[in-house]
Amino acid sequence: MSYAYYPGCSLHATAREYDESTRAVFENLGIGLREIEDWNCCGATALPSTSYLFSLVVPSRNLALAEEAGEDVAVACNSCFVTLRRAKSVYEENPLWRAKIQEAMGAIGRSFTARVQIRHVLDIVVNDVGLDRIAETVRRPLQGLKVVPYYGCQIARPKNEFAHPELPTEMDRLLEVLGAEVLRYDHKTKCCGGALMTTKPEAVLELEKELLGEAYLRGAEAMVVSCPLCQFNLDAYQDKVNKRFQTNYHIPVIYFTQLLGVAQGIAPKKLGLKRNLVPLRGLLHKYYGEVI
Amino acid sequence: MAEALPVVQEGSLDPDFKRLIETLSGAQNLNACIQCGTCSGSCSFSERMAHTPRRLLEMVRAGMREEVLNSDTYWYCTSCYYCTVRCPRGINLTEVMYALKHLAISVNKDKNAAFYDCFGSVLQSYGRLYENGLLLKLALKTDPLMLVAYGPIGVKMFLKGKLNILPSRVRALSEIRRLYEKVGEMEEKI
Repeated sequence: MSYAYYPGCSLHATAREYDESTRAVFENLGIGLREIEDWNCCGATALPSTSYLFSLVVPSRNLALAEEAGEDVAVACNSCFVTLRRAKSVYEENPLWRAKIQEAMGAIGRSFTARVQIRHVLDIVVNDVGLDRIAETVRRPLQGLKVVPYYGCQIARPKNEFAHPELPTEMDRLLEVLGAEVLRYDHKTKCCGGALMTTKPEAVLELEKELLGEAYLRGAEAMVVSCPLCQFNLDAYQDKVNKRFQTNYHIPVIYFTQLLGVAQGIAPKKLGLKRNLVPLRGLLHKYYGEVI
Repeated sequence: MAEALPVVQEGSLDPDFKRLIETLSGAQNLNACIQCGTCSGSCSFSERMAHTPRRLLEMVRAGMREEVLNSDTYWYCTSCYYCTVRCPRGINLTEVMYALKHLAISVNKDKNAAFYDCFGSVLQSYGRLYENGLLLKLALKTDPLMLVAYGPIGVKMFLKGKLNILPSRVRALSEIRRLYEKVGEMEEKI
């Protein structure tokens, strides 16, 4: 099993621990991840507002590169995931725009034929590797760890790819296999506000308060996420939420790949466990002792 | 908070506006909308908007171009796709919001429009996102005090090794620029 890995911009910057832990966990599972040579930004949800066609061809270049490499694409960022899928589905469903995408790609001497599959790393772990195989790799069961799974909005939308668009269960089941106690979380696919934190901070801080608030009320020791934007908004802005709403949240926000790595007994450094802003020490010291 | 529906002067409607938005949002049929309000009920930010998504769509159909482009509805859209997933008529409202932002950016120069503008120009400069560059551009264009507000988070991220001081570039940047030129030429014909 091997994939063309599309890390996207966040995983090389603000979400470095997601990149590190994804690579470490995949290595441990014996799945190949070859980073796409000279990939570019997918354009995220910002580029479609500047030009419809440009926002389709920019992600298409990455898909063309993966096709040249002859492997399906593995993506970790929900926003990259939805953006790459958007380009592929317009290509598949709309002949007019397909011709335009082909013409533009031709100008740089590349071809995109949409035969490549775009897979989220959560999908690969749960459905390709399978939970039975994951269970065999668990060295340190996360017994007693109370968590809420927060998928974010873009992982299974707009179309049902591998998970239910409103009530997915993939991360729930994965975390249960790792031994964690998965708590009910009604906001599991509510939006975190994404890049709107830059332009409408007041509105987005209120969203973070709701998301953190439910995790707190359920008694979660951590929120488990699968998207760099969710992680950043909840982790980096938790202080601001506390200041703005006189709350006292102190909830670690951890990537599912980090927690999977912990259960598999992978060294903390390989999982970037010191990079989360709300420290993971209190949450994980029972698994690592003084190391973290 | 929702405002009253604006009163429209006779002769100020744009009969082609609906068709334009249908085209720019990927060839959709906005007549399919039955005004059920599922989109407004699903949106995280409806209560903050002057016009909810349901009403905005009706304003688009009515040809209220100016009122639509001056509204704040689409600046609240995060592309979470809740409305699109739930629409019983299969309308991709997220794409409609993209199309409206696209038109608004060409006439509007406020902070919302500037963000998307700056993102696009950072992408053309490096082929990848460069957070420092994006923030600096945006601050200089709109509100330099933004940099002060972001300072503490920037320092924390830097200490955790999660802030790139220098941009990461695509080696074949000429391909990105060529794509941009080519799309520009093609769009003139659309």
